[in-house]
This record gives sequence, C-alpha cells and structure tokens, in this order.
Amino acid sequence: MSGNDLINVTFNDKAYQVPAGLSVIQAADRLGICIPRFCYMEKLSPLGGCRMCLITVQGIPKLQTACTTPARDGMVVITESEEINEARKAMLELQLAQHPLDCFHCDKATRCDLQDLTYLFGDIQHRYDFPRKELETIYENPLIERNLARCVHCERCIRVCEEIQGADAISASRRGRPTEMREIPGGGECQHCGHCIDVCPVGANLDRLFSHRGRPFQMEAGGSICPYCGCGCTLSLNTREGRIMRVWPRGHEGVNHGSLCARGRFGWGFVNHPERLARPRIKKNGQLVEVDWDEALLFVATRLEKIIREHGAQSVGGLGSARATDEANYLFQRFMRCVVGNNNIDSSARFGYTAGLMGRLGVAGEVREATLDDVRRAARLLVIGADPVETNPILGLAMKAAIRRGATVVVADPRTTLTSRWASQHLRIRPGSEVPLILALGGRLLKEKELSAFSTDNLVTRIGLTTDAVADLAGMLEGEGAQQTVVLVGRGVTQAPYGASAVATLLRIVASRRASYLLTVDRNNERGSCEAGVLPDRLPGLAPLSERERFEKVWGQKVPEQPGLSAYEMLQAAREGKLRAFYIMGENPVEDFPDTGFVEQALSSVEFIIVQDLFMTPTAVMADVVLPSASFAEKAGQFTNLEGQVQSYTAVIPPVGEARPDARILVELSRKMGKGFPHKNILEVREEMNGLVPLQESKRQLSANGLSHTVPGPEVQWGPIEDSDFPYLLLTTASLYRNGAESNLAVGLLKGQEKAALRLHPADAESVSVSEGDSVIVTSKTGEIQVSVRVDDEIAPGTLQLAEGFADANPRTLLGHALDPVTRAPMARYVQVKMRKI
Amino acid sequence: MAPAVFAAETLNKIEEIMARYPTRRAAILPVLYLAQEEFGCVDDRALMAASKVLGVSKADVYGVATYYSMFETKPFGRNVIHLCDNLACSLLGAESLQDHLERKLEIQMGQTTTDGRFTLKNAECLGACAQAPVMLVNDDFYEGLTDAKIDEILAKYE
Amino acid sequence: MEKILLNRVHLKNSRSIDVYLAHDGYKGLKKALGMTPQQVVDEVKLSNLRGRGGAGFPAAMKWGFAAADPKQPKYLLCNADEGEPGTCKDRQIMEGDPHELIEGMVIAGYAFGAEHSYIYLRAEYPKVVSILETAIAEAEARGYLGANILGSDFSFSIRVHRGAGAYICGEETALIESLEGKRGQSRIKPPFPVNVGVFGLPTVVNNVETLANVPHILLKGGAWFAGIGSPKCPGTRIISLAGHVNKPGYYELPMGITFREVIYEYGGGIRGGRKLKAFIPGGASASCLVPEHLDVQMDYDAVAAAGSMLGSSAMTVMDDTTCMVKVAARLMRFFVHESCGKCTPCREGTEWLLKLLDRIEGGEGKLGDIDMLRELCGLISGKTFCPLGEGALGPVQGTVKYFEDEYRAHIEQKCCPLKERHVRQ
Ligand SMILES: Cc1cc2nc3c(=O)[nH]c(=O)nc-3n(C[C@H](O)[C@H](O)[C@H](O)COP(=O)(O)O)c2cc1C
Ligand code: SF4
Ligand code: SF4
Ligand code: SF4
Ligand code: SF4
Ligand code: FES
Ligand code: FES
Repeated sequence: MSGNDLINVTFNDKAYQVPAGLSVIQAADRLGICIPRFCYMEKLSPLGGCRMCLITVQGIPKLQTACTTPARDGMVVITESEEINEARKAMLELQLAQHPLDCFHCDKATRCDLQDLTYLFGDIQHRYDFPRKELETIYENPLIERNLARCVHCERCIRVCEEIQGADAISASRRGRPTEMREIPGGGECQHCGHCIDVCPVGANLDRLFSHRGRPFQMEAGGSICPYCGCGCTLSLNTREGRIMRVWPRGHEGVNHGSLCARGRFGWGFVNHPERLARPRIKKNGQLVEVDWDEALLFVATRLEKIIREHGAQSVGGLGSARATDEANYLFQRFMRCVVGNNNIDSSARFGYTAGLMGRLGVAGEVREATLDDVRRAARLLVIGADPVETNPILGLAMKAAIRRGATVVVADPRTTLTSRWASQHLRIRPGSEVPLILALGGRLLKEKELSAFSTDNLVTRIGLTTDAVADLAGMLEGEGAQQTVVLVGRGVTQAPYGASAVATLLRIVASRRASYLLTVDRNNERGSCEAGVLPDRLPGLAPLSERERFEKVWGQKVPEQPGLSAYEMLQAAREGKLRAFYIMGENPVEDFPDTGFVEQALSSVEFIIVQDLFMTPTAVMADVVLPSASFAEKAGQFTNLEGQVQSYTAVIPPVGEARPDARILVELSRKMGKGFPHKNILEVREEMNGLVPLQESKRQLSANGLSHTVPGPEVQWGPIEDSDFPYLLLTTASLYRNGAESNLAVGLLKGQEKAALRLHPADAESVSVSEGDSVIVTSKTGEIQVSVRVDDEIAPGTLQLAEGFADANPRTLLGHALDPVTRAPMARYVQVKMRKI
Repeated sequence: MAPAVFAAETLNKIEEIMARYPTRRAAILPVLYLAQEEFGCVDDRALMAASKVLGVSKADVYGVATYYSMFETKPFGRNVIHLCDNLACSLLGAESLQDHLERKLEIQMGQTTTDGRFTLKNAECLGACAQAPVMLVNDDFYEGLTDAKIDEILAKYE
Repeated sequence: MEKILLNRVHLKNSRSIDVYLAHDGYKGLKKALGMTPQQVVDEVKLSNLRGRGGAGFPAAMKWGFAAADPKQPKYLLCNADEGEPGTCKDRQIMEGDPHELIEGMVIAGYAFGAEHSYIYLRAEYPKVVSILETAIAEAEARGYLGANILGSDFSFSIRVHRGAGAYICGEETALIESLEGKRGQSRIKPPFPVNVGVFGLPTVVNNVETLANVPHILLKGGAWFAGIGSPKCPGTRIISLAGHVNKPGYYELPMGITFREVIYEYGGGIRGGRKLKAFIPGGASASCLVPEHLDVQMDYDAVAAAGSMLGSSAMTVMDDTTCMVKVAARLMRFFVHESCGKCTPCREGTEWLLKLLDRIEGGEGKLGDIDMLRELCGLISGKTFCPLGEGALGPVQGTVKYFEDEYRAHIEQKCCPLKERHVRQ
C-alpha cells in the first residue's frame, strides 16, 4: 500500500477520507474529532492500557480502544454515545479510586490530563471508600521527582525513555496494582533528557529544579533556541517575573521534534546565576572596577585608537564567537575589518567546524548535506570520529530513530562512546587513524592515483583494521543503498592533521555515491559565525576577500585586502609581542582552547584585552575591560545550526543588570570610534546581512568556490609516537552534561554530573592501584590535572578517556597545540600522559 | 562486596543457554535463575551482572525480575517452602497447615527463619489440586499434607 | 471408555522412549513424514481437534494461517504454563508420557513448517524440566528430533523454557513477550501470533493437551477422532477434579458427560457424605454452579448456557461447610496477585473488588457493598485489555448470584454465618 492511499471512514455518521495505515485515534486526531486518552501518544508505540479511548466500531459488540484499532476502509465508528460515556467515566472512577487527589500542592495542577478529563465529564462518582494510597515521592534522580501515587500507569514515560531517548532508564517494576514506574536505586542510566516529565499526563514525573516555583498560569512562555550545541533545538522558556523557571521543548516544533537533551532542558541555570556580570568593568590600578557603559566604551575606543595609531591596525586581534548570534558575529567582523582595519578575525570554530568547512570548500560541485530528518530516515550511517550522542544529542536521537527503523550503523572511532555502544559495528581504529582511514576508503572508492598508496595492506594495518574491515566499510558507500547512506563526521577527523583534506576526500566519495554527509558541531553557532564572516580570509557568506568590493559598497567602509591571522596565529603573534590589543567577544580561550597554558601565556603578553562575556571567566580575569553581555534569553538573534538552518529567536526576559546584547555593544563602540554603524536594531543588521548573503529555505546561499587540498603522503606520522615517559594515551571525549563555561554554572547540569571522570580499563586502573572513585594526577608535557576515575572494561587498554567541558578537570590543559599545516588549528584530540594515584 | 560479575563457570553456562535463542535478551529468565543462585537473590550485583551479559539495561532487568514471582530482591533462606493456599488446597486445610508451619518455624508467611534455614511463602495453585493440600520445598513436591507429614518433610532439609 | 492421552501413563517407566516405542510411539510421526505437510494439516482438520488451552480454537486452522505466512523461520510454542487454579492436566501428560507431547510437537512443526520450538513450562514444575529434557535427548538420539528427522529433509528442535511465576504468561501473547525476555504482558492484536509472533516471526501457540492428541490423530485418522465424544468438540478431555470429593484426581473422559457423573461416579461423591454446595466447572475464572446444574453436560456450549464456562475443565467441588464469600475473596486474591497491571479496569478494579470482599467476609461489610460488587463488575466488564480481567469477575458474579443471602448474612451478623471455615484469606 502506498503512503498516500486514502480510505473511507465514517465517524459519528459523517463520511471522511483519511490516509491508509492509521489507527482509529490517529484518524480521529487528523479529523479534529476528540477522543480522550491517557496512554496514547502519536510519537510512541500504542499501549492500549488506559482504556479511556473506548469507541464503538459497527459490527463489533464490545467497545474497542481507538488507539489499538487500525482504521480500515469502510469502517463505521462512533466516538460519542451513552455507552461510551459511561465506559469512559468508569475508567475515570477507577483511576481516581486510589489517586491521592493532592492537586493543591501538585505542580501539574491545571495542566493535568486527569484533572481535565474529570472536569470534562463532570459527574464522576467517587464510591471508593477505602484508604487511598499514601503519597510516595522518590528523589533518587537529582533532577526528576517521581510521585508514585499520582501515576496513572500510562507507561508513556517508559516508552519515551526507551523508544525516543533509548536510555531504558525507567521501567515498570513489580506487577498489577503495585506496579511502579521508576529507575532502579543507583541505576545511573538516566540521561536527564526530561522526556519523561513532558509526557506524563499527571504530576507523577516532575522537574525538581522547578518544584513549586509557580502555578502553570503564572508562567509566561517564550520560544528560544538552545545556546549549547550545534543542533539548535527549539526551546520554550517558562519564566516568571523575568526569571527562567523551567525549560520545555515547544510542542513538536523545531529540528528537535519535541525532544531535548539534558543541556537544553536543565542547562539554563547560568542565565539568572548570581555571578552574572551586571556592569562593565575596567582595570584601574590593576583592579577591575565597575564603571558605567559610557566610560567603558570610551575607554575601549580611546585605547584601541591609540594602539592602532601607534602600532598599526595589524597589532589588533579579534575573536568573534562560536556561541554568539549571527548578527553579533557579522557586526564583529565588520568592526574588525572596517573600524579596526584588519582581517585578524577568528573564533573557536577554528578547531571545529572550520576544518570541515575548508574540506567542503575543496570539493567542486554538489555534495548533498544531510538534515536531521535525513538522518532519521537513513538506512545506513557511517560515523567517523564523532560521538553525536554526546556532542549533539538530538542528532544522536535521530541516529537512534534510524536504528529503530532498521538502519545499519558503523562507527569508526578509537574511543568507546555512547555512540559506539549503539553501533551495529564499532571499528576501533588506532588513535589518530581517522584521516588515513578516509584516505584508504578514497583509495578503494575513488581509484585515484594519489590515494592508491593508502589502500596498501601495510597502511591498513597501521589503522588497526583488516583490509576486509575497510572493504566492509567501503561497502556502506557502495551499491543501490549508498544513496540512503549518511556519513557523520566529527572532530576525530576535523581536528586531525590533514583533517580538511580528509573531509574533502570523503565528500568526493559521498558526492560520487550520491550519499550525504553531516558534520557534528559542538558549539551552537560555529557554523553561523563562519557564515557571518568571522574568518581571517572569508567575508560573510564565505566570500573570498577578492569579492570585498561588493561589501564595501553596502558598508560604505573599506575592507583590508590582506588575509588576517587565524586564532592560534594571533596567539603566536601575541606571544612574540606583535599583538598589542585583543578583542575577545564571547570566547573563553584560557579555558576553552587546547593547550591552556600556552594560551594564557600568549594573552599575558598582550597590552590591552577587551572581553565581552556573561561571566568573569578566566579569560575575563586577564582583561583590561570586561563588557557584560546579554544571554541568549535576553536578546534577539539568529543561530545557524549544524544543518545550516538559520533560526531566529527573540528576547524572553530583560537582561540581567546593565548587560547588553553583543550587537548593540558593537554598534555603540563603532560610533565611539567615529566609524559608526547605522543600525538601529537587530532587524536592520539581519536585513543588511541577508541582502549580502541571501537565504533560501532558511539556508544561506554560500559562495562555495574551490580551495585546493593536497593529499598528504602516506609517510605522515598519523598516530602518537611511543614515549615511555608518558605511557598512556588520553583521548578527549564530549559530555552530555557540559558544553562551555556556562554549563559549569548551570545547577541542573552540575546535578546531572557533578565532576569530570576519567574512564579507564580495569587493567590500567590496577596498574596504578586505583579503583572506582579514587583520584589520580594526570600529567602531560604541557600540564597536569587531578581527576577521579571510573573503571570501564569497554575502554581500550592503555587509553584514558576524559570529557572536555568540565571546569574541574580540563583536558585542554594537557593538550598540545601543534598546528595543522592546512587549517592552522591545533591538532588536539589526544595526548600522551602519565598517571599516578594521589 | 563481591564483584558484580558472574563466575567464569556460570558465564560458560550462560553462553550455552544463549545459544538456544535468537536474541540475548530471550535468555533473561534463565540468566536470572542463575543470578539468583549465584548471588543469593536478585540484588544490585546480580542485576548489574545480568544486565551486562544480556545487553539489557539494569532498569529493564529489574522490571523483568520484579514482574515474576520466582525472583527475590532480598536474600532468602537455604530452603524455600511454597505452601499452596489457592482454593483447592484451602478447601482441604491449607489454612491450618499454614498455622502449623508458622508456629513450628516461628515465622510468618514471607519471612525467613533466623538460622536462614527456611523461607516460608504462599504459592498460588501449584497444579496438584487433586492431591491437595500441597507444597513445594525447593524443587520437591509434597502432596496430601498433614501436620505430621510436614514435620517429617522439614526434617529432611538442612 | 478407552483412554487416548493417558493410555500409557500407568505403564512402568512410562516416560522412557523404549516403552513409548513399544506402545505405538512415533508411529504417527512416521506416517506424517510420508505425507505432505498440507495433508497432515488436512488430516487434523478432519479430526476437528480444538485447542485445549481454553479458547477452543481449531488447531488445523491455526497451523494453516502460520503455514500461509511467507516469513521464515516459524516457531511452535507449546503452552505448558498451566496456571489456571484447579488445573493440572498438562502435568499428567508431561510427567507421565513426555514423548507423546514431543511427537505431537514434531508433527505440528512439520505440518506448518516450523523449525524451532520451545515448551514454555510453568515455574512451579521444576522437576518436569529434566523429565522433558531427558525425553528430548532420547528423541534426538533416536532421530525423532533434531536435524533431518528419520532421514527426511525436515529438521526440528525443541527447547524447554522455564517461566518464572506469572499466571498471565499462559495467555499466548504474554507468553511470547515473556519468551522474548520481557515482562509477560499481553500484546495488542492484530497482528496475530500466526503472522507476527515470537521474535517477530510466524508462531503457533498450542496447549500441551492439544499437541498430545496429534500423534493419535495421525496414527488412527482424523475421522476416528472426530467420532469421539461431542461432534462440535470431539476427543476426550482430561478433567482435574479437586475439592470436597472422595476421589479427587485426573479423569480422561469424552466430552458430553454430565457433572453429576463426574462428581458422583468418578469422584465418588462428596466427602463425609455431606451435601454439595457449589462447584466450579472450569478453573478460577469460571463462575460457580450449584446442584441444580448437576445434569448439565460438559461441553462448551452447554456450560456457557448454564452461565459459566468449561475453560480448562478443572473442577473444584465445595460442600456445605464452605463459605462462599471466602471462596470469592480467595479467588479474587489470586487475580489481584496475577493482574499484570497494564489496564485500568483490571489493575484498579480487581483490588477494589478484593477489598470489598475482604470487608464483607471480615464482618465489616456495608449494606450497599453487594450492589457495589455488582456495579464494579459492570465498570470492569467488557473493557479489559485481555481476558484475565474479565475472568476475574467470574468468582464474584457466580457467588453473588447464587449466594446473595450468604453475603447479606455476613453483613447483617457482622461475621461469617458458617461455623466451619476452611478458606484462609
Ligand atoms: C489469562 C489466560 C491464561 C491462560 N493460561 C493458559 C495456560 O496456562 N495454558 C494454556 O494452554 N493456555 C492458556 N491460555 C490460553 C492461551 O492464550 C491460548 O489460547 C492457548 O495456549 C492456545 O492453545 P490451544 O489452541 O492449543 O488451546 C490462557 C489464556 C488466558 C487469557
Ligand atoms: S530524563 Fe530521559 S533518560 Fe532520564 S528517565 Fe526520563 S526519559 Fe529516561
Ligand atoms: S509516571 Fe506519568 S508517564 Fe509514567 S506511567 Fe505514570 S502517569 Fe504515565
Ligand atoms: S544542547 Fe544541543 S541537543 Fe541539547 S537541547 Fe541544546 S541544541 Fe538540543
Ligand atoms: S486485563 Fe489488563 S491488567 Fe489484567 S492481566 Fe490483562 S492486560 Fe493485564
Ligand atoms: S489511549 Fe487508548 S487505551 Fe489508552
Ligand atoms: S490449589 Fe493448591 S495445587 Fe491447586
């Protein structure tokens, strides 16, 4: 039966046509006919347990459940009758029999399906005259309370946790009336996505961060976009009196289809954090003191002008932000180019999205970029050097949805990750072999001379695979099914030596097989910052500097011709004393960039540092001026997600203190420096940008002209060189619970996981005599950290895995910063370390 | 605390059992029986061990283990007495046999003797109604029970 | 009357394959393998063998559905969960004549093209596991089971799968869920097991007694079987007779015999010469009947007409010392314990019913409680997900119908009006 066949059905004596393949309740929902329910939910498999959706099907004497009955051609259905009404009232009386009826202090009251349906039917009897179940609330989960007595046993939470989140963290335990929907004590399987809170029709699963902060009608809800990762999920911020109280998905809207991850759901705590910067500060006598905006901006303008006058425009560096809005980034690059007068513009996307982008620019012609929906529908997924389940959890859910539909997933990664645990096949390649692996695939699939050296058995062995395994992997991109293959590429590739060249090769394979690809993107607006022109050699829309005339015309200001320095080149220059001023908008390099020691040292040689941020980050501490910026919830703007979707949002609450949106700060500063931008509001900025870089179906029309990549020779050293002083290899990973400095200040995420954990194989734990929970000191050539261990026999012996993002044990302190010849970004996914017990 | 893994011997047995089914998960009941034997009951360690070999989440294993009457999440006695008290056995005196057992062992239904020798449990119909009243001690069936017969039977169990 | 199913159980070493072979064993299989699978289905169709697990579905029809589904491999599941209180018929076959079951399974597998099978055995029969496994090993060793049975192209395996104590797992879809390693709860139908059964593949679930009939049908012909007992449901049934009779036991009898004959002739009458008060004709879910029903014939329709059901043909007989409120409460406790909890009416309703029954029995009932029992049955009836919840109403409906006075006496006298009490709460 094809998807668009229609069938004839009769509902309550009226004839309709509905698509074939629906259940009766789905048909009714599409026709706007209301059938009450507790257990049914469109996105979940049917259960048929609550018996609220009872209906009459002509020809069948017994009432049927609409959620489990397929709609058939010619079916005659009655959804309202005396008998049906009585049956539904019977179900309600039975549900209410033992319900604690403690609506007075239930957070769900007035948004509760049990209340609503009872109210709807009006005259439900209450004949149960035995003691009711005692309230029993379980607080085993740090973020979710479970009120067992309020549960109506609809099992939505269990199904959503299994079928959508794939966590299987809650189950029904015991049986019959004593059945309880809960996690097991100390279960630790919950990923704190909060789905189980959303789907609960009653107040049985509740958000503990919210607990009693207001009745639903006292809340205001404002749509927004999640500020953490590149998925760009649509959020609904529930606020009261200008403060965020809780976060929900916004119905089924957005790329996330009603799902969120722990960060999106519980990571909002930084917004109203007491340590938020409320007023500008400038350094006076070695102390950062609060001043008003005017003084701060004047101070910046004067100092910058002086440095430019005395040392030339080239002596100023600028970091835009992989987290700030498209508009702020757009204005930032315009500020650097037109007001300061150089192209020294970059961001932390340098060691993330940028390498992938450079790879893409190295391929002429069409390469199909996948959307999240394409991933959901994919028949095969090839995941190389990526862990979407942790870096981009909603992409992870899309992958799980594909798996549930039967997709084959092959993961090539040296690490054991939440993603590799879902794979049909996990190819544990040697650390650092992502690039040669791709080149070996190229050797097989592209049959090009330069690549042929990579398909030799010898090289394949160095990757840590057999030739057969590489052949199997290549098979994912062969045959009819290849069009249904999506290749997911992560930092294991983009942050490796020649990562950009490898991406280019991979995309040429993808293009030749009509497959599609998607890059995982750690920070929410890496892609938007690049497309807004925060790159030393590209203007907005990725236009090369040679096209600058077009921009100059619109801006009425000159754009320098010489490409600028990339992030680490600027840091290098700073260390050599060549950079006098550094404008850092919404980046925290001292914590967030690989080789933090080097970064700190470089910055300490800079005469004048401007930091624009929400908090007094370790970078801000080094600044001469700190400008408080508004958080995502407090301003309007656009983020561009990993698919390239440009998504706009508006302010939901007023900024904390005197904090201002980045874009406004830049406009005002430009005026103070005598080269004032004309924009009166964010929409004018957006309009100007869209004029230069048109949007089509909310994706930017980019100037994707070619870069050329040289394929590295097979003689390149791919993996680490053994070093007996540093016998372990620390591989960096990502964590669901951290993503940037803000995440370390979000109470919800701290509750989700308080501290970093070093995961290692039992044999390695034994060799330094530590067991679960003990602390170790891990030392590399560049730094040292202290961290507690988690023993996991699925971690490859000799390797240690530590997630980036935890402020308490930051692997970036240990990483080096050797720069890739192509991207000029640090090649820093792993580092050799030694380890000792404390 | 003993580690949450099965002994090597049990693991071999489990692999053998798993070969009988097309999915690992299908072996959950036999694995839980083995876990209960090895760990004394289906406690946290048993759940963890079972979850690992089966590739099923701990919560799911717990959900299954608590669904079925044969699994105990708390430690129990060396010998388990299942006294049937469903209708046919009740009609023929299961009630007074229960009194007798409770008095003799000095415990109530659901409890374990202080020396850990016996755990006393009610059972639903044991499928021997025609020989009622009956009980199951571990794997052994006893029919047509009387107080005296019970005394004799219990003496056989250490 | 000649026995069919239990005709070997009294022999010495009745379980051994040698004894089995010496008494017509595996002759049905040999004959079947000489026929096409379709011919085997047709022969069983001719016999009109109907399922003995309770629902009475024609066996050949089920096999035909599964055979018609193109998916491979197919599974046969033998339902040996025997959990209906009062029932112990399947156990007689498995303990006394396991090869009869094995032979029946192999023939059934051949008939609809199954390769694998499991015997889902109730947890409370631990000793039967080894009996079955021994018999399976014997059959394998002699080539009646395993690869290329008796030199044919047909291969078939049998594994014993021990349940873990949940009555609902006797319901075929719950059994399938349980076998897949889940909480054994009934599934939504359609799809039916014959199309999407265990591990998503076509599956036939048959009761032990159903399958044990198959070798006899093959050996002696479908027509022979169809001529035994009642034409609508031919063959014999193993009746489990328990309670206050002089000779409780298992009696293999042709359908159509009266309850009077069963209780007074085979069962030797009521113990101690007492008076019959009530009897349950077909397991715990069946509403009780009273002496006026003694001449009702034991067949599905006649018992249904009398307001009860034949179910698993497990009879429990009660004399005049029995408190019927307590009987109802005891059976309700069983259903409360066994309700899987999935659906609202059964989960919430059975517990409420039990609380009412306990209150009445304990002398604390209110006058409205009897009406409440009836109304509560009305709230539940017709709305449960699976038949367990509906079955749970049987004990209340029967006792309230025939013994309302006894209920009322409990409430008015604030205690049980009967002196002797047998049934524990
Ligand atoms: C609550 C419930 C319990 C059941 N228990 C059993 C059982 O213990 N044994 C059995 O063979 N069938 C039982 N059945 C019937 C099965 O669902 C199924 O109809 C039967 O196994 C089919 O086999 P048959 O066609 O050979 O009778 C039960 C059904 C229900 C609803
Ligand atoms: S928060 Fe998510 S992972 Fe945790 S129990 Fe709820 S649904 Fe499952
Ligand atoms: S906790 Fe909520 S969602 Fe889960 S079963 Fe209970 S009522 Fe349903
Ligand atoms: S962190 Fe990413 S996946 Fe999680 S809610 Fe935010 S945008 Fe979505
Ligand atoms: S009637 Fe409902 S609660 Fe009862 S056993 Fe069936 S599905 Fe479970
Ligand atoms: S909505 Fe259909 S049974 Fe619950
Ligand atoms: S009632 Fe006790 S064995 Fe059946």
